[in-house]
Amino acid sequence: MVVPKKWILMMMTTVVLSICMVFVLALYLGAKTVHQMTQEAQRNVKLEIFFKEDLGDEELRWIDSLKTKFEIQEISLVSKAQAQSLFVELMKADWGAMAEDEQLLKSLPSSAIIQFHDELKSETLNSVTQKVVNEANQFLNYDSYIFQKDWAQWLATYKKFISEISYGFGLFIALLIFLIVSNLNRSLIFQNLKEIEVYHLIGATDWQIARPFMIRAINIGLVSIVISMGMTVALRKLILLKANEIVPSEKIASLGMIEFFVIAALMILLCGLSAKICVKDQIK
Amino acid sequence: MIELSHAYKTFPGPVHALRNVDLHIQKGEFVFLTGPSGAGKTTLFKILCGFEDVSSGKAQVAGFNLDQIKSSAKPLFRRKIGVVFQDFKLISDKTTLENVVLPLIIQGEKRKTALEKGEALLEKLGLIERRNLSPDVLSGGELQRIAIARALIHHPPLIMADEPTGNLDPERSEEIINLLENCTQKGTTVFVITHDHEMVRRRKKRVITIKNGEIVKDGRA
Repeated sequence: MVVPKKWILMMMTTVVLSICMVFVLALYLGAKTVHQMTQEAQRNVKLEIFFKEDLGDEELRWIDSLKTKFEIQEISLVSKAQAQSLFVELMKADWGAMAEDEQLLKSLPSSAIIQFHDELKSETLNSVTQKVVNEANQFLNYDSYIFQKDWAQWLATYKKFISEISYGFGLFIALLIFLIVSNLNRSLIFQNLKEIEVYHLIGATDWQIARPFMIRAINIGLVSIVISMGMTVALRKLILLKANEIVPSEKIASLGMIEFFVIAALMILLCGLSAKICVKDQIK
Repeated sequence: MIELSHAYKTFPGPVHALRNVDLHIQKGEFVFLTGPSGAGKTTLFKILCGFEDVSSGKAQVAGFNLDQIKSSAKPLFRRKIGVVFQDFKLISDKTTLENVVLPLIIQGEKRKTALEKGEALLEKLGLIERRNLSPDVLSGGELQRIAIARALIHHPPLIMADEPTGNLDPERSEEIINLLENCTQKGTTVFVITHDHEMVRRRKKRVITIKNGEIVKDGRA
């Protein structure tokens, strides 16, 4: 049995289109993961300033004034006594021993834990932190400070760059899909030139002529979406298995139904539109 | 049905394919168009079918002003005429019956009704047994009759035929012309391009002769 040329062409296009769509879905999921992790990191960013002694009234007023000056959500104060009792509890929990070193306990600092607003951008966060630390340096004789930044916070710094790269690749792949479907349509149109001519000559409108090609392109788009969806799910599972140590599995984003339908609809629209443009071009 | 007044058609070059053509064809008339090769027959045929536009002058066919028609209205005009092409223009991927009912489908007729009408017409033309075959396996005479069936199926007020008897034996040619002539009894106008002078003489119909893009003779054979 000989498989018709146009079927081979359609099957090849479906495979290539599926691979392209896997890239689109993977890029989308990647960008979503970065976005989620960045948001989470942003929520967990804390600036902890340590002081040798408990803060006096003047220092407390200064701490209070920070709230109005900078974009700070909450400031928690930990006194020396609280730090000591926390340390004792930790020692007990971790080693089952009492902390006996009096000198060490006395040297524990008091601290101010500053929680910034969730929606602060990474750059703003860095500059606000620097301003707070500078002011603290001028006003108080602080001991040291810790600005908690894990690797996800690093991602936040490059979030814009990562988003731009993702959008760029997304657009490039969308263009590639458009070209692939256009190429398929041109080949199919080339094989059906006589049919198009006959339809045109006996009074078919451009829409009537384009419709079968559009339906064919949309069907290919639908099949490709289903295949690529399966491939993406498999790929995600593989990543979860292999990369669990680097990125916790719960942090890798999954595709919601609405997102899936929006991406599928866009892809199908792209396929249909490309067919319409090709046929219109041919009729002209 | 057909009104051409001071119609000119010039192609880049310039090549003057039609010059000052005046033509008036009434409803229900049967007209032959003859002339030597390169005389402008095909250009005139294409203008009357709406496949080409006049360069200047007026052209009115089946109630449509072809000199002013918008491209979006052209499909509607083409549905008003039945065209028999010299090379038949049948689709190989479709069966004979599907080819015949194509104009009905395009006009929005339900597929089932269209197929019933197509079968009735093929029965009338003696081609019912060929309905499920591809045009690729039919003989020249059969293809010609299928092409005519497709032009007749939607009962157009005007039928245009380009060399419908070309490459056919005299017996088949007579059969085809009889078929077209029968259409005029129901008020359909038939316009036929032909080189077959013998047949034109026998039929005693109106004959228009064109030469160098001008009508040089218009009268009965």
